[in-house]
Amino acid sequence: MRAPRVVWLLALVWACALCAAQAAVKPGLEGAQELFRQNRWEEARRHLRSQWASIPEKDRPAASFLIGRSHVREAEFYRAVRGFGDEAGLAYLGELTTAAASRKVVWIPLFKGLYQVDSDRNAEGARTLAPLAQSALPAPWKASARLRRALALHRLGRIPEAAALLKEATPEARFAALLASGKAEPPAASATSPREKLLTAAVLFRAGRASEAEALLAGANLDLPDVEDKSAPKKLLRFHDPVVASAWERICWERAVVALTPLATGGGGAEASLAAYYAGLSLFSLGAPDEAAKLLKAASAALGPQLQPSARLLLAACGWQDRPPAAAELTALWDGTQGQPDAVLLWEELRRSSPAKLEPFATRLDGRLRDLLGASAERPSGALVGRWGLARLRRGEEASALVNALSEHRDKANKNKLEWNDPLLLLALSAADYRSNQYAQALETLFELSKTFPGLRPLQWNLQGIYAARQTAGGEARIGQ
Amino acid sequence: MTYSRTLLLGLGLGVAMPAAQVAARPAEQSPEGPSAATVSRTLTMVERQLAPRSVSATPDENEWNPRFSPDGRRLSFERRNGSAQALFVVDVAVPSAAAERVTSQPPRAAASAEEALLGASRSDDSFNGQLSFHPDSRRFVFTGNAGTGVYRLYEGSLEGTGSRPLTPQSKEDGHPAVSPDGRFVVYVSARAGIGKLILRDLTTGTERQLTSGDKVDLYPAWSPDSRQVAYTSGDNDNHDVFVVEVSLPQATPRQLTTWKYDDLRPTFSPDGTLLAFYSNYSPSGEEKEWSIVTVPADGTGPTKGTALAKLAAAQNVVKDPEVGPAWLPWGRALVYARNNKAEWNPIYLVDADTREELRIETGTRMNHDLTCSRDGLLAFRAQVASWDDIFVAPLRRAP
Repeated sequence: MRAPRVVWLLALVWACALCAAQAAVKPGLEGAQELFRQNRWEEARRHLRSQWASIPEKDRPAASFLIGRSHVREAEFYRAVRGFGDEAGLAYLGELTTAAASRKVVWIPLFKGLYQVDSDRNAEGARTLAPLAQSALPAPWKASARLRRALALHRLGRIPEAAALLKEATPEARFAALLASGKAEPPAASATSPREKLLTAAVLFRAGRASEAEALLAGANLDLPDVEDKSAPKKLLRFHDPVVASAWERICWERAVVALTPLATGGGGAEASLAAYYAGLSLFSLGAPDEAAKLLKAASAALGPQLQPSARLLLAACGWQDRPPAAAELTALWDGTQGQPDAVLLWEELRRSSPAKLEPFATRLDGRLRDLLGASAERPSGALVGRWGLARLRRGEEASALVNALSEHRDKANKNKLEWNDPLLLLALSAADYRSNQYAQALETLFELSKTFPGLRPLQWNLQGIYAARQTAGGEARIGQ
Repeated sequence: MTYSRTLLLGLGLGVAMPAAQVAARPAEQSPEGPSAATVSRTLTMVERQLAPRSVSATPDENEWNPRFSPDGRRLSFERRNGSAQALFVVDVAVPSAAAERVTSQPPRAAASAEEALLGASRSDDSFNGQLSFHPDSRRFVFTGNAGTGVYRLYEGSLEGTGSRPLTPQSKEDGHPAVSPDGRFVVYVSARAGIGKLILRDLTTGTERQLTSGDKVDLYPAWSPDSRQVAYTSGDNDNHDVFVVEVSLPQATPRQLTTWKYDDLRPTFSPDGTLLAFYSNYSPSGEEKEWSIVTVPADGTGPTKGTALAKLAAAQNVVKDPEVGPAWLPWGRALVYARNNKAEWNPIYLVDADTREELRIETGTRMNHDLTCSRDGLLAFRAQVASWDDIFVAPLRRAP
């Protein structure tokens, strides 16, 4: 029986539930803006593209900006999905490892290694993947293990060793090379499998061949498992390679760059500086700091007070690959940017990718993060709250307290509906629920999100596996689902 | 019983009743009423062929939940508007009058250039609904969330001064009902953990919890003399109807139904003597069929069993989702939509005393959400080209 409180909430929005038919979308830019606000980013873009010819000239810069901005939002979302997905993927594989019936499944160490590398646990990943060259894995998956180990070695600074392994011309090798160095030659042979198409598209985008990349992405399906293991009777194990999510995140950033760069370089007014900022952010996330810096330099003077601190921080971070920041530079940057919540979250994200460089700020950053939402008189946006929740989860803070804090910002009557709740907020809530062992709630939220974001399905599947394993004493009976 | 079944069967097979036919139920179904041969005076005052006009016509949006102001001049209704649930008030005395939007979200300029580019300043993403008019018909209280996840009561007026939160604290507050004398508003709040009725003095702002216990209390409705509140209480398995005296601080609610059926959304008759509510009791035993049951408001009637079943005034009705059965302002009669999709849910009247029924023709489809003003203007929701609009039509026959 459902709790009475839930009944009351349901009663409160009874009218909403009744209103099954959605209102038709307004034509032109206004309709797209409405869809964007409802977090229906793909629908907003489709709406604009289908009506582009009839959109007045004066509305086109705003329409182009909306398309690019929606790709940025999607990229940020999928980056967060990857973080949660890696955690859940590794936990699921851990459960499988302890289940006696699964111990001999050859896929488990492979995917464990792949997830370790994807989550930047490079030393562990390299160790897990090394012995698989001698295993009974099919040849293509042995190649995956070899290439992902090469990527881990590259990140660990063993560059020549990695370079030798990354010389292959396959789509996966080229993609691994792209992840390692930020650039790669597109593969010569045409991609055939959906997975190869996705990886090749990511490489083509970086090579400036966006239309070829888009052609490869037509009909892309993020829902499919990479491997299905039926070695045990009555038991089906599905494995998803995190490289797919990684490629998809990159594709979202690339699409943002494609949409925003012409506006940033060719336009004027507010949309030009905003487009330059978001294109710069996208390029920085793609590991192209030099290109990012050019755009951010152009943008920063004209940006408003909300984005200027983030632009300043990003611009500084673009130079840190070549020259680690001096303590005085960091202090000045921190003092000048920590007043803006978006910039504080950016500090946290930068520290995640380069902890050593920013560690002197750990204490100050932690304190600021804790108070971040309470400091503003304005109600913070759902996206900000979601980023904040995910940042605090990354720092291992108490999950059940975070569930309560995040729930305060969720629309209680429409709790999983995207129209009323930012996807990042919902994802953070699902992650916090998962950490609090509230698997059913975590899955319920993911289920709703996955209706709009099919790239969530691997995460959903892995979480379901964890739930099945942990809900029964032995776990093994239900782990195959 | 046989007659009733035959009638329903006939409707189910698409055999239309003659328009505007007054049908008396067998006397044994309505022991409290006069003999079946009596022609209901209440029903003879009704126009049988209506020509409704839409007061909300929009080509591609749904509207629902019409509610009249006490003077019958204004009508509120709700509409899904993008990501918002919008609330409108329209002057029904002026044909083609534009509906005025009521919102809990204060207007604001774009906070940044980016918001302006994305059209954020134009958006009203708030939930608004469940409007209850003050007796002056100008002021009102409604449920809103100002575009946040926090639901609370707001008060507003038709003077164009905007709306403001009624209470500083909120815990999923909603279902406000302003008393007919204008002194109080009763509403549901989960601040005690689950939905309970709270009584707020609109002049002093003092509040007290009207109900207690471990069941959720919903859908409060005032008696015409402002002394009692009827409501639904229960859980997912069963709801019953209760009445509580507002004038007595420690009053114990009277339980008017105790049976296994779900009883929802009681409403007082205009003279305050009867309560009508929806019940999923049906003579056919079909759980998804709903009846309108009328009981004495003073609690002297049966609370269960065959005796209560006999008080079902209408069967197989369309249950309105937000408010209880609609009383006519004169006599003791109700207007409802019958659950008969083959005939587009036709509208019927039933005399609560005699159980006589009268079908009225509206030419509209999939009728529901019926309500009636003090002057006998009927408002309801009906479908036009797959979208629901709000229609009005005078029910009372011209003298």
